[in-house]
Amino acid sequence: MNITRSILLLLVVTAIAYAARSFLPAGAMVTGSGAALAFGFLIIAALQVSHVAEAIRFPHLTGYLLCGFIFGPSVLRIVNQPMLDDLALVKGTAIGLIALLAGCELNFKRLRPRLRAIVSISLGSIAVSTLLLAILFYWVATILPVTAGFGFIQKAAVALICANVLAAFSPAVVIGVIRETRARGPLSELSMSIVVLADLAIVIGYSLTSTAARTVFPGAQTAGGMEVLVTHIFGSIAVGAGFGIVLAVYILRVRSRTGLLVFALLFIAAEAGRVLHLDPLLVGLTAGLFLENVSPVGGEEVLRATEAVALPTFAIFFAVVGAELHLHAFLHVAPFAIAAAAVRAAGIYAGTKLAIKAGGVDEKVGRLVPLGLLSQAGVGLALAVLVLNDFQPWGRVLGTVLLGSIVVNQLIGPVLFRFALAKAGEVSPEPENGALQPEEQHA
Amino acid sequence: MPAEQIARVVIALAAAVGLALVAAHPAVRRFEQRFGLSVLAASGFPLLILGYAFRNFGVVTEQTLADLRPAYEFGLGWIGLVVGMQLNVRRLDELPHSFTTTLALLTLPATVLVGLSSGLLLAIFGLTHGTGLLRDVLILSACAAVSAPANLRLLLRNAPSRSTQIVSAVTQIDQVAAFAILALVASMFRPQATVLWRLPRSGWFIVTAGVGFLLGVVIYLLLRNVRNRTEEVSLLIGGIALAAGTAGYLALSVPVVCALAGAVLANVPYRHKARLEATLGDFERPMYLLFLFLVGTTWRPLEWQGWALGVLFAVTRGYGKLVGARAAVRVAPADLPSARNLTLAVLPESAVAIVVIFSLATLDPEPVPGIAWGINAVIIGSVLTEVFVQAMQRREARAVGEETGRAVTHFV
Repeated sequence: MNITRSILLLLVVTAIAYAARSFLPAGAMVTGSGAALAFGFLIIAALQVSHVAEAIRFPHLTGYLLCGFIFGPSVLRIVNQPMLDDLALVKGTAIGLIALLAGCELNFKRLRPRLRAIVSISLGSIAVSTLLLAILFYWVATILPVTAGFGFIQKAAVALICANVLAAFSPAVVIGVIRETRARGPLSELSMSIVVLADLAIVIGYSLTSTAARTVFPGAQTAGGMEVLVTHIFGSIAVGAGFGIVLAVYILRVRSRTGLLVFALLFIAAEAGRVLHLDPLLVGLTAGLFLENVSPVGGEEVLRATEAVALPTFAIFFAVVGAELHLHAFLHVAPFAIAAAAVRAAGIYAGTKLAIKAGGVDEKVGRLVPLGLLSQAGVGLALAVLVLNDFQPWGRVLGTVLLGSIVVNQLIGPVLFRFALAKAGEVSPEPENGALQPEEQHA
Repeated sequence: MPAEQIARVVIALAAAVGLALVAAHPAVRRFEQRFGLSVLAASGFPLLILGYAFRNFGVVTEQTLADLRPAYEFGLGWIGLVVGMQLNVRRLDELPHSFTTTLALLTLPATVLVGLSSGLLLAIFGLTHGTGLLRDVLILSACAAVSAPANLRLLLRNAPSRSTQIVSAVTQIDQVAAFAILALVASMFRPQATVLWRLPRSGWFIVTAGVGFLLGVVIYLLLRNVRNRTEEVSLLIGGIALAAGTAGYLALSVPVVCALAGAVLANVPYRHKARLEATLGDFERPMYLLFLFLVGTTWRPLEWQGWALGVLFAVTRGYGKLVGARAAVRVAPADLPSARNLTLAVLPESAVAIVVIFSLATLDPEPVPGIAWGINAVIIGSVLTEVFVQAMQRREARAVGEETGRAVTHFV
């Protein structure tokens, strides 16, 4: 792809979006927030930026994230906050699809020989990184004015909650990089299995620690109690299984426009999930796992049916995530955020190193696995926002530190994981399905 | 959320998914083709009614509709692009010379008659120039123009072979005529709002044309050097959303802007045009179904004025098509079937009519009652027309069966 052409096209669509945005005074609306404009602009711009990223050997995902960040509310403001708010449903649907695709690729039979490795690396990396992060955040709590006056128990609760949030991984990034590079092999499978299963543990862990923390901070909002946890996790799993059954029956009986049905179901999950406290990630993941491991149809059918729309889904999801990054808030807490990212990386590396021997993992793959666990996005962001909103006043300060640290991991993680996949020799050189012939490209 | 409400939501969503499954089933499409039913009649009405029921049972809330706004704009854009792509000048050049006259005659009388009669009725209902009388008259006229093909195999069985080509083209290009009226109406009757661009009303017509043309060129440039189909679909989705979003943000008519972009795409030398049209066609039907569901959520069928207007709309439109068909057969007898069968062939109303009136209604943040009656009229008018066409087709099929001794089902 000609980079000059991509840059020129990017300039053209930016000029159009900018011109359209100049139509209304700030804060005014005529027929909506312009979410469709933001949606179209972000998809096109993200794909053009990803071409530039590819040329300098960066993952497309980094291009999508940077695109959202540059054109989002923090920098150029082509996409403003009301537009992003209205894209929340698109984001929810996209995360559901990403999780569904992950589930469809996780075959338990195939993973059985690696189960010990998956469990030991998950436990090892989470345990060590949580421990190191807890120590760091305890120290941070002693020096920040907003928490300096807390007693030991309160500081410990703050440290535990923050450590729990930063221990999260990013299934979306890992799946995104694997799909983008069409990687196949033990590192891809191991990384994907670990991030998916470990994130489930992180979500449960957060609900438990935040419930405990509420007893220490009586003023905290009560949005994350055990009742919500049960609905959130088991309700999502039940709905996901239901969707899996519907999809299996549809594929068996109808087998036409399966991709559209997938989107319809995920849209319903995202929309109904807001009132029923369902998590689109868990719903999608369960549906995918059901299809691949329980139903007679297998996940391959869904992967094929959604192939054409997977690229725009990834592009819009990561561009929106990038647009949600707040530059000013990050700069404010940058030293703490960078320190937390470094401690997290060290914890993941040390934890994996310990687990490799216990899990019987191949030395070469084991050395590269930590690079697949560094990324953070959806789950980490969601939990950080919960801290920010639920635990006032200290949540506002430490939530910003958490978000800042996630920004660092978000930008570095995909690059390192792509490097690891290339190093492991798992990046596929084959052309993508549906690729045009050379003579067609030059037509 | 109370348990009763949760159960209601779950049951309703399950019903929606079930209906969507049925509507998407290939057997339903075969059924439509066999009986010459329009998308509206076969799958559209159930979804329309479902939308209405969901809104009244509290399943679809204001928040849900606000959430669906980007999807709705995108769907309008998709439909607009599909309509615009039918305006391929080279393909039109291949049609018989009588096509233009036939198109004008099958479109204009119905448009004028519906405009005059509905204008009179709306004036009786108390609408004035200040409350949108002229706008509603013009938009109902545009809705009268569009048609969907009936069972052409049955109705044109004894007609010259070119007649099928002409009638099919008429049912496609009359949509462009309706969009032209929509462009005019959307420019002349823009919503009043605090905006930074100050233009005369006629200036907005130029802006609409310019934005549509520019976005058509941009979509072409984006698609021109794609590496694979996945990228093509991504950029197509992005291009349509950008066009729809830009139009929506500027309070221009979304389907019109996207139709102009589609017309540009149809006439530039793009090597994978057939594949692009296939991709657009694949999603066209679901877009209509989503759209009709949304129309259902704002439908107000209990207002009697809409029913009166609907009956008048169906009758005058049908009469206008008959007058036009008679004139067309007189002008080009060698290319067309009998006036009766030609009328029946172009009588069913296309779902584009609902797109036209609903897209205008949503341009105005505070719509006046005339538009709500108009939506009702178009929906009721299309139901009445569909019932009439089906009855006439059954009669025609029975007559053929008696003539030839073949079963009625041979043609239906």
